Amino acid sequence: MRILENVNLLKGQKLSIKLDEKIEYFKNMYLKDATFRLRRMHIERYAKFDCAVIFFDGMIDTEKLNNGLIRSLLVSEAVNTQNSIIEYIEKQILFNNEVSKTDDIYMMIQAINLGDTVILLDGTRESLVVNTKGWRTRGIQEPDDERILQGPREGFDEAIMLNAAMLRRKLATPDLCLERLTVGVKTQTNVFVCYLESLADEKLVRKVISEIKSINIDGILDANYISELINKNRFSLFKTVGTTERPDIVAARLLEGRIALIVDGTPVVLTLPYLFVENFQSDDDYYLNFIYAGLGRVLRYVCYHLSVLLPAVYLAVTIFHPNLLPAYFYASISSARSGVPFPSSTECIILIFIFEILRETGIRMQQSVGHALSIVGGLVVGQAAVDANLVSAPLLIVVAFSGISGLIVPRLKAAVIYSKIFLVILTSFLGVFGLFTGITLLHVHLYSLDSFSVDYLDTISVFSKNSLKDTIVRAPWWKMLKRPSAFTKDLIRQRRNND
Amino acid sequence: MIKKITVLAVLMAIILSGCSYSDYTEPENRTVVTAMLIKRELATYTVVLEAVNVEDTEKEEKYKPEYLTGWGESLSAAVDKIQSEVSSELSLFHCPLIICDDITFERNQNEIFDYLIRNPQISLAAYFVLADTFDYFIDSEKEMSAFLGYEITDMIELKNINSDIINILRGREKPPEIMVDKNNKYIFSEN
Repeated sequence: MRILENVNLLKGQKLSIKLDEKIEYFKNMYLKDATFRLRRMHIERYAKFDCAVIFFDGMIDTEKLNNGLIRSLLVSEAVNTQNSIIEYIEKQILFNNEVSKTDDIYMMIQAINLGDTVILLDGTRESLVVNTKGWRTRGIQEPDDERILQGPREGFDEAIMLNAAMLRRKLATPDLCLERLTVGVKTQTNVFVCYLESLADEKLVRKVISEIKSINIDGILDANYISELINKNRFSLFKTVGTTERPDIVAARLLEGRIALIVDGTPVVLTLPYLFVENFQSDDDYYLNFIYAGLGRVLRYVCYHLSVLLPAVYLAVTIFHPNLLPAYFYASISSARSGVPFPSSTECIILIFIFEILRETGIRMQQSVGHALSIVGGLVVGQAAVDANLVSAPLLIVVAFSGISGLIVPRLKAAVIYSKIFLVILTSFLGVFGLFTGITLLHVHLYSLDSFSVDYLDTISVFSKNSLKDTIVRAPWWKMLKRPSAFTKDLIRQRRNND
Repeated sequence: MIKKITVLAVLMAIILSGCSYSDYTEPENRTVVTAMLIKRELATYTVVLEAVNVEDTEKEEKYKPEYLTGWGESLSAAVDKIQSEVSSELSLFHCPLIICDDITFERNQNEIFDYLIRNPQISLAAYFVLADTFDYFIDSEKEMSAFLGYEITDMIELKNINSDIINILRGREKPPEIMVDKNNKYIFSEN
């Protein structure tokens, strides 16, 4: 048996002319693979030759293989007008929609791994690769994490070709480019780099492709592998590579001059460059009336800030600066705190962790159990903890409100949790001064970030009337005449009839 | 190098700000003072603090006041005496009302001003009132008179322009024109 550590080493290698040796080669390679199938045939009707087909069971469409390939090979009566037998089979015999020739062992292995069938022929180094893909997919469903009130309900699937087709259906233009790359020594995962040629920055496209080509890892099982490997801001709390499972979002981002990466085996598609404002944008903003959508987006900004700041502000005010609160309000906080064994800051961090545990458990559990868990965790345990004087009611309300506010911006989930804890710790030591030090450090960090050479805060920090049309609120479509200027070649999004 | 300078700058800022972990006091460890009464007899100051009694108040009940009394040669000493007798830290931040004995203020004006201005816990927005007896405030059975209160900032202003501050506080003289409409306020209703 051949032990092959890196299939890429086979690139450019060729098989023997003799069919027996070819068969022996593949049999040796897949000696311990129970799904490998080989069928040898002897043809005598239109020409006399031996051949064999190799494929993986479960990966192919049996109908396509039997009727389109084996049947046509065995029973065809077409008159041979070609110079060689391989060209005759390719051009006159096979019914399949996609047939190609190759003499590269690597290409053959790649083909059968993806569900194609390879026809090995005696007397030639070349083989035919026939499209017989037939593995099952999950199908098109609405992504759970990106549900919307109004608009398209379709989401990506795990099959890269289906995903590409969904994108192609949204962007029916030859301007759409889908460049294929293969990443992962063992997984040989296909990645499509998608962009609109007339809009995307060519330098950025080449940079992304070169970054992906430089990845040398054994396997890519999800888009996040690539996201982490090509991202320069590796320790940042804030996402600088976008993710989505919705083809309409990918299409919208490509229409702004961005680049998308479709990775085989996952419904998650990466988009880049990804800016801070995108965390607050939702599909609904574009599919609902702009007045209503504007309110939703403002709420998202407000809730993000509440979520990050509220626990720290509460601690700063109650522990260090009680003079900022009315006397009887402060007295009621004081009354609620009496008997609680932990200091406020410790209590706050414990409550944040408990909230995150409940949230995480709710996500991982079955939906029905998840709901019950939320009720038991949130109401029953919370009330019992307050009654038992383990936690104080005001802080419980603050942490719960902060946690719930954070859920409104799911893309900033990690950033919200870590920023909140960071500010709580700083505030516990230094009061309001610590709070403002923390806020300053977070801002310094945000300003230092970039997503593929585009400033992370581009549309917020640089005042531009055009960019601001899609930041805090969304301007009506008839006002958004231009694309964001940071990463596109063509700024004009919309032309008026008299332009 | 840049990292070192940043860390140094942050540390310097923390140290220079005066803000430190020593200011950390849990809410339940503070006694919220809602009024301060000042009197001086012979050489001793008597200070009575009205505080919110959190512990003896049942839920859904209005907070009961408790009165803490201290004596000393100065106002600070009297307040410190009270502090030494209570387990939690006195918080004068919320004290909106300072009531001073009429005669005491007349004789010790500078000392009282000095204490009110220099004590960082006392808000300059607190009202200062003159009264001839404390009984009005402590004993609810007693009849109340009308008292005219001025914010401490206004009193500083009155002092700066050399007004007859005592008689203005007593209500016998009108405050300067600029202060009539905006600053004076009746603290208690007239009976």
